Amino acid sequence: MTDGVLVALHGVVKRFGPVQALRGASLEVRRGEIHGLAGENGSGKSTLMRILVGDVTPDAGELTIDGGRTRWGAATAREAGIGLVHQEPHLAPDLTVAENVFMGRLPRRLGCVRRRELAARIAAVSGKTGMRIDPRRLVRGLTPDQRSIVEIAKVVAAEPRLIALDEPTASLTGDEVQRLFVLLTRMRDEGCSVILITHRLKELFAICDRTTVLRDGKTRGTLEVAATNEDELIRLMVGRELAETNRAPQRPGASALEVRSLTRGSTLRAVSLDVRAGEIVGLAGLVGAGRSALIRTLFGLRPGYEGEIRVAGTAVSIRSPRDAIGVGMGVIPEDRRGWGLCLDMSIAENIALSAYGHRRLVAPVSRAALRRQADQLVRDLSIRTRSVDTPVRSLSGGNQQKVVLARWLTHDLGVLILDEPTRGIDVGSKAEIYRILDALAARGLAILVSSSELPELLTLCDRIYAMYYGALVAQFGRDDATEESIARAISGAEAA
Amino acid sequence: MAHLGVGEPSDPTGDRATPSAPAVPRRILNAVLRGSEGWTGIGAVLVVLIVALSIARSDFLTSSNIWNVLRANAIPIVMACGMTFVIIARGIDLSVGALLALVSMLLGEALTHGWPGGLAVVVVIAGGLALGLVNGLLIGVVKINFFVVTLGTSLIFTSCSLLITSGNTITLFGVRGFGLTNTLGNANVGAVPVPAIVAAIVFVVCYAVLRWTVYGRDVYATGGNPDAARLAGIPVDRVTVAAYGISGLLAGLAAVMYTGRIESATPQVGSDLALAVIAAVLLGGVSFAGGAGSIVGTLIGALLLGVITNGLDLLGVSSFWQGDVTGAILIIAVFLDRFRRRA
Repeated sequence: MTDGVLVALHGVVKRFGPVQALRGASLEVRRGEIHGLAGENGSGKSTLMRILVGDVTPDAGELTIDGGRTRWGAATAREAGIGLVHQEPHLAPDLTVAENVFMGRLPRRLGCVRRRELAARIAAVSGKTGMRIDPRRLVRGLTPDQRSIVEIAKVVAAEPRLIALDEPTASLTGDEVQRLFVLLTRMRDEGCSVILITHRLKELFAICDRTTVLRDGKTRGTLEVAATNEDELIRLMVGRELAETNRAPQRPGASALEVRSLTRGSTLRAVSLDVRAGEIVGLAGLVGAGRSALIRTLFGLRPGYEGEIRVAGTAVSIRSPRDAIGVGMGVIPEDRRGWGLCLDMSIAENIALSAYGHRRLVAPVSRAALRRQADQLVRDLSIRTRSVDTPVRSLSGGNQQKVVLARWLTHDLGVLILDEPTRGIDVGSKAEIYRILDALAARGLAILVSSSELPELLTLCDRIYAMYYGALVAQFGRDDATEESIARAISGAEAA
Repeated sequence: MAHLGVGEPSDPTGDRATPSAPAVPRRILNAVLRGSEGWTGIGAVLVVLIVALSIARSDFLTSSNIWNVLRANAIPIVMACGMTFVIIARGIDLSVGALLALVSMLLGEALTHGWPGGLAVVVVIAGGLALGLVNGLLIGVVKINFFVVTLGTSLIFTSCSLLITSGNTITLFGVRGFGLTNTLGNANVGAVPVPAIVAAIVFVVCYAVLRWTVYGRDVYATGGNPDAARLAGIPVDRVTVAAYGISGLLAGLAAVMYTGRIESATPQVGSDLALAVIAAVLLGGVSFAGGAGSIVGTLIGALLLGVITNGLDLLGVSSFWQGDVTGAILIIAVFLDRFRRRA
């Protein structure tokens, strides 16, 4: 089996402070294969990749390239032709697309950049990757999905022998994912090896030859994709069977959130929607369709809208998050690290965060009471931690998301809005979050969920709105919502 | 940048090669306010100020006054050029004022001890480079915070320059070997002040290095995203060390010009010189967060500060007002800069 192995990592161990990220992970990648890397969040996939490219030095472990033992490090990885497409694009904002793609490898003569040579090379890379972005543009002005494409082009341009991609599809649209897969397949056929990290099992089955599964920092097995199925993969990933959480049909209660003709520049065009108490309503749309704009407007992050917002039957004016919280709305943002959490503060403090704002200035905050409350919520939501004093930074993505959820449960909440609630969260925690949302709806909360993952919306929601170019273009109920019908609507196939 | 990621209107395929063209007048306004280089806005302010002063004072737009402004501001321009490298590389050099004082004192000592003028000048400029490299090594290699390092070395340099003569000024007028220093700081070629020529040369060289050399682009990459730069194989540590070295070298050159200009070496150089230089760079649109900006902006920023001082002088306003005006302009300029970054 060692025949044809390009890169092998064995017994890799890495500890970050109190967190044991890897405890004996192994991975063998053959020449000319697409190798999936699956595992829940916090299972160590990203760390293993960062070790592979020399970004992080492991505490123990062996690296073999082309059959020979070598040292860990960025220089080794560069010489061996190993490139990593990071989850968060590693780009310099005030360099052009071309300069970013050839960062560190700019064609030079006497220390000066050869502009013509650079233009010729970037044209070749654009041709190969299908990148349709003007290479002279500054990265500063690009959208997140465009940046992901530049990040991929940057690694491909180095003509790697092994390209590793850390969740490249998370910020790409369906079309772009297809184009990426065509590119990866072609690179494999030309003899390049590919490591693909993704949370979407469908993608693993669509493109990978073999898949290695990590759990809790250890390798649990490597499977031939053709000879396995989703159940076996999930079993390896979570170490337990998952219960399906299909919601029973609900009887919707009174109207909780009504939006009428909400308009904001060209990002939102006359959006009208209803969410009733006890209902989970989905918002489907491609990247840039206006889902996030709608959520940010509803929560007062983008004041200056036209139209009407009614909460629990009363017209309200929402000009700041304070207004929104005041009328009983809560939001769980897409970027929980950037917007949702103070990573270095404890779980208890994070849960109490928005409670502070609603006490009168001089009212003393009882720390003991806050701790008791946090203890209760940690138990209710089964947040896995030793204590409520643990900094949020050391939790896995799923548990961090539960902390954000817990915060809103300390409020008298009528409407909960979630933007990509399970992005970057593993399958196990996903199911738990679905169960929590289900229980909250059963208690009479109105929930609005925006997601780019259609299966998630189909599992979770009673009704789904499809959004296209800032407008709601279709609505689906339990009986007529299918992946195909929604995909058609959000890609504009049914738009006027 | 938007942290929530998505939210701007866009076509869902995500491939926008060219932004749509707005109407022409708006385009010009946009170009001025949000020029990609970041200095067009402050450039417009400078032009408006020059026009206004020309109308208000007939003696403003005279050749003698123009040369006067350039002579007076050559030294901050030279220092600001070095500071631009440091700030683009995501740092700050608080020590340049103290470094200038120390190099100036060393030059005074060398000349009074009979060193040949040319040798003394070359050696002390090299000394400036060395002191800058010390900053750079502590920051780029030992990895101590840049603010702490340059604040610390600033105190050390100031103290050393006081120790050399127990705080006394060294008068250089008439000292043998002072000729070259005096020329660099004070002479004219025809009507053109030599310090202005030196500043122009420094500016052109720095512009070329930042714009066209691989090192220059590496400085932008290092400041814009240090992780990305390191993983791309850019020697981030060396780029950083070199940026502080350049700042030290140019502060050393400025020290020679300063010494020549006041015909003496004094440890009592205003300690706010470093802050004025930093203000000029930030005024010019170089981002504190690193990775962004241009040296053209730095030149405009430094000239703007100089024209304000000169204008207040000509209008007979107390020079004590200068800080109020420049401070307010700095804050407003950086505030307006935010709108450009959102584009």
